[in-house]
Amino acid sequence: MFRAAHGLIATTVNTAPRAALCRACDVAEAVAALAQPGAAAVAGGTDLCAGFNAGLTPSLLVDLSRLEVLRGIEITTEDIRIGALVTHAQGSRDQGLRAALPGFAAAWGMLANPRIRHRATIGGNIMARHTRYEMSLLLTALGARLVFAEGEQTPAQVWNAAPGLLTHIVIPRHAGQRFIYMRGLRPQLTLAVHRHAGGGLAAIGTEWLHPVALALADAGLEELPETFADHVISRWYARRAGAALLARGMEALDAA
Amino acid sequence: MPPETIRFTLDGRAAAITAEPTEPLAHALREHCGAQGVRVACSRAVCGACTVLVDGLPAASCAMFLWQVEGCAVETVARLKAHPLQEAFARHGAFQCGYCTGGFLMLAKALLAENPSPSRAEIAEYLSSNICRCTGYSVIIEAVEEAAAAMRAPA
Repeated sequence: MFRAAHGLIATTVNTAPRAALCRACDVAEAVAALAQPGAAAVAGGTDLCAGFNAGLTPSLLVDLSRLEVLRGIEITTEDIRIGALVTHAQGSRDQGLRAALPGFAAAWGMLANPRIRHRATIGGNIMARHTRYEMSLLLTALGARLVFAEGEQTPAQVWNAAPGLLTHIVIPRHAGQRFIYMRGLRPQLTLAVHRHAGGGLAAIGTEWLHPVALALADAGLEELPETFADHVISRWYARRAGAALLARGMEALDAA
Repeated sequence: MPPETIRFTLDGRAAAITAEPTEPLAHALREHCGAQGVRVACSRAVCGACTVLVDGLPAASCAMFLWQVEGCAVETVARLKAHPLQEAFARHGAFQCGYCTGGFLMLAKALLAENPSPSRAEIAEYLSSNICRCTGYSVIIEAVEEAAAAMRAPA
């Protein structure tokens, strides 16, 4: 097989040095393996392999596929618990989730393309920590908690914290809970609206910025941080377009 | 990494590859099994030329590792010989350079297994996973529509 000299063309999963493999049989083994230098978790693997093209060269791949405790969706009256290994296709089609929180299931079904949806996982989408991946924004609006083997974090904390092993995601349930995600302006701007009897949140994001949570009462997005701007949109545009999306989302939830 | 023997079925037949388990699946299928219908282009799960079915579901084989198909049923475009999709693609000339065709055929097979009567819009949405740089999308969609109709027709 042809292997290009380093720097001649981008490294790919084919040309990168072969990594060692740990097939973790339980959470403790996975945590220990991921703590080793150069280790990378493999769930669906779709983002990991793209990472090789960006220069990622893990020396140890930690296969999570045997960790059955990271699979499945459990729904109680208190919360929705989603295993980190649930794929986009499984999650968006889960009958229980579609009944409990249809707007979120529909939004989940919009992520990625059909070829990716069957392999890519909710955990991978979050732990890839790419602003263009949308699950973090959805979970920010939902006030979700990320449960790691090492403790809990919010979606916002994960952007900066050193990741461990994400085991599942917990979405609190509320009376009158409704959700809608609007991504028609993507990649410039997307917005999710989560409303329930006790309040709710909106979350706004772009292809390049971390999602920001906003109060639903902030119709003009006045609390949008001054730093919310990138090389495509200004804060002024984000406020104008975001306010329009928020109003549209609230109307849609009224009509639902 | 020492070689391991990974066993799976390839296009309906038992297969075993003895290699490093972290070898990319697309590379392993081409180099060890002679599955030249699996094409590699982007190597990052974007273009879809390397699409295979793993246990019936479409997957980018450039973004999978050999160990991940242990015990699985892997299907490549070689499985589609004399299939209505192959015939429809040929009849419509649904390819130009042909490099992407194997990936499109496998993706279309997955679509029709999931939805035997897709609308034109549903076909376009599903096939948007893959890229044809010759931009022959219209004839590809027409071929899938025709194959779907042929597969629904009573024998």
